[in-house]
Amino acid sequence: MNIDIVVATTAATIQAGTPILFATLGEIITEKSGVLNLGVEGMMLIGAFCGFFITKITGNPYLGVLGGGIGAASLALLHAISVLIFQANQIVSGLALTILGTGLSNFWGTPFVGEKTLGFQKMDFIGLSKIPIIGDIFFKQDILVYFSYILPVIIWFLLDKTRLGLEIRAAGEFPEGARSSGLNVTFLRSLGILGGGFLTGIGGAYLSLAYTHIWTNGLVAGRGWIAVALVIFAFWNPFRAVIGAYLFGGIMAFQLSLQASGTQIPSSILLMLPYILTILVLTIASKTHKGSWGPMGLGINLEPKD
Amino acid sequence: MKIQIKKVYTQSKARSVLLAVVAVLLALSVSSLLLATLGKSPLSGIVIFLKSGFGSTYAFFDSLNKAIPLFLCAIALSISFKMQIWNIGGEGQYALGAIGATFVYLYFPNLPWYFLIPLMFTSSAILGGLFGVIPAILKVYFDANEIITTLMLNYVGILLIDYLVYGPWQDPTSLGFPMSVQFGENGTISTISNTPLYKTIYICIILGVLYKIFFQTTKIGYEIKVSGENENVARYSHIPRKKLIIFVLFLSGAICGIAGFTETVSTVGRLQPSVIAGYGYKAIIVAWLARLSTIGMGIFSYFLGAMLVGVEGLQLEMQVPEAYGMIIQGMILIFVVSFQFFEKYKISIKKE
Repeated sequence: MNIDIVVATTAATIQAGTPILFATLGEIITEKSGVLNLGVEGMMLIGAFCGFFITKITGNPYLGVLGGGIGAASLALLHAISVLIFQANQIVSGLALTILGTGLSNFWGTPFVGEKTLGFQKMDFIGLSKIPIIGDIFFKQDILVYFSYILPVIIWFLLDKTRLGLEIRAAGEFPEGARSSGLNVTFLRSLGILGGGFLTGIGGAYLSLAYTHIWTNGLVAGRGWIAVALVIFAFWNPFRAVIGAYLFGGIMAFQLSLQASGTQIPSSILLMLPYILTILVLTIASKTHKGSWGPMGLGINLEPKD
Repeated sequence: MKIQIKKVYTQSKARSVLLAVVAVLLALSVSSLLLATLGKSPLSGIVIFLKSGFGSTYAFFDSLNKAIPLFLCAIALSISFKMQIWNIGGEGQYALGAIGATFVYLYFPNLPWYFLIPLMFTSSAILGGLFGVIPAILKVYFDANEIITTLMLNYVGILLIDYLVYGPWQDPTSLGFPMSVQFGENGTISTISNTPLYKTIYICIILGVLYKIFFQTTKIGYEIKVSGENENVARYSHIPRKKLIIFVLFLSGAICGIAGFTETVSTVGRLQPSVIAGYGYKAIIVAWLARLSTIGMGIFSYFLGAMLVGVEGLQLEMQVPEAYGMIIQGMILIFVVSFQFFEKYKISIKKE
């Protein structure tokens, strides 16, 4: 096989994995605080739409990304209100978020279907892009990809090395105990939900602004659910999330390059691959992690005190 | 002033119903306001929505026709929800049901209807059920979360229909459109005479009654309920949890498959991508609104059906995008699930 093709496919792998990485890292933060948010797919869609729309009206993709994050965080706020204040079932509330987010992004997005956006372009990373092969793969990407390289470190540091991170994890592991020792669990969990939603929204905005550069309804196409599965695969570890995200980036890039090469395999069969891979990856990860299921307070609401 | 939250230990059915109604009304109001974001009048939106959804006998029957697959998917999902198994894969199992029915028709197109229809029905149920068994096995033997596996299989099921109707099952005379051949009269179920209502509604009535009997009288139905309510009790009473999960997801998938059958042999009459209409997801809302009660699911299936008809009216008369229906559904679900708070807790304001 030609080395150029390998390099190009690997670079495409990084790019395809990046939106999934943002969403997976976002969901890790949320789940670390003890809240399951199954609305990732819906939040990514809102992020993608807000990113596209704000870039369109301001002409500034940086504002677009910010808008994508804020849009998704606003949707996450609904989840925060329903599960933290109204004690709603986290699974059902999250599903509602996905339905609502899908509806909203298509509702607002329909008039713009097919419209292009300039968004983010690839730019060489000064110096590093000159390294043979490595530079071509990792350092001829767009700025959000560069940001995603350091993001896992930031999140690991925030969650594992700061007091706030410790408190968030306490709210996720032992909510009752955290409350007894004077922590405001509701506040900590809402930080987890909103922070996670914001990152998820950036992942969505990446799709419209840096990946497709064009608005289509439903462009997230299950990536949000893949991210939910990857949290389990990553065992709530930001660094393992990178491996998972690039694995899926790889299958997507592979599928695209196969389609471009004019293969005989029907496209609907190729499109199934990421979903089947998700099931496989989840199954293997669940078997190996059997018995240890992430934060102990995950998915359980903290009942209000009488 | 101090807000006090107290737990309520007595549950009142009237209160639950009232809360659900208030939640739905609030969700509809909020959704109607969103029409303003597209520069359309919320008020005339509500009028058109109600008129097209509830304002004619045609709308009534149209809603009932939509309620048929909704109700079937809802009872299917609620079998698994009773056990706290989250089958979110109704959509994929429904797709497999549609495929199952078409498969039989394509291979035996000349059988008389009294052989063909039961055969299509069975094939749909089996394929749908098997699609439910995959996540069951992954859950039982590998501990894989069924929410994610069932959901991923939805995409697989829908893509499988795409593959078939663009490929081996495409009608050669369809000029490239993605569809199978039109089923003949022997492979379709017609409407009840003088109405636009399909006879597939009988399947709903029969399965609805069986669902109720199953949970009220059979041992296995009782075991499913106990396993869902208290896992520890279930374990001590030696309920075979693993076998039960596989059984429950098979049954759940089979009934979703039957829903796919009803749609394929009645309103659509062939296999094509538009068979997929999100009933598998919408049924989650129906099941949750009705708290898994049979009659409740019947009522809410009709209600959601009418809502879909109302949104079609909005699409036609106000050019509101189709996705508006999903907004309403999402709003309803989030309001309903939040408002259940007021069933469990009582809020009082005290002056200090």
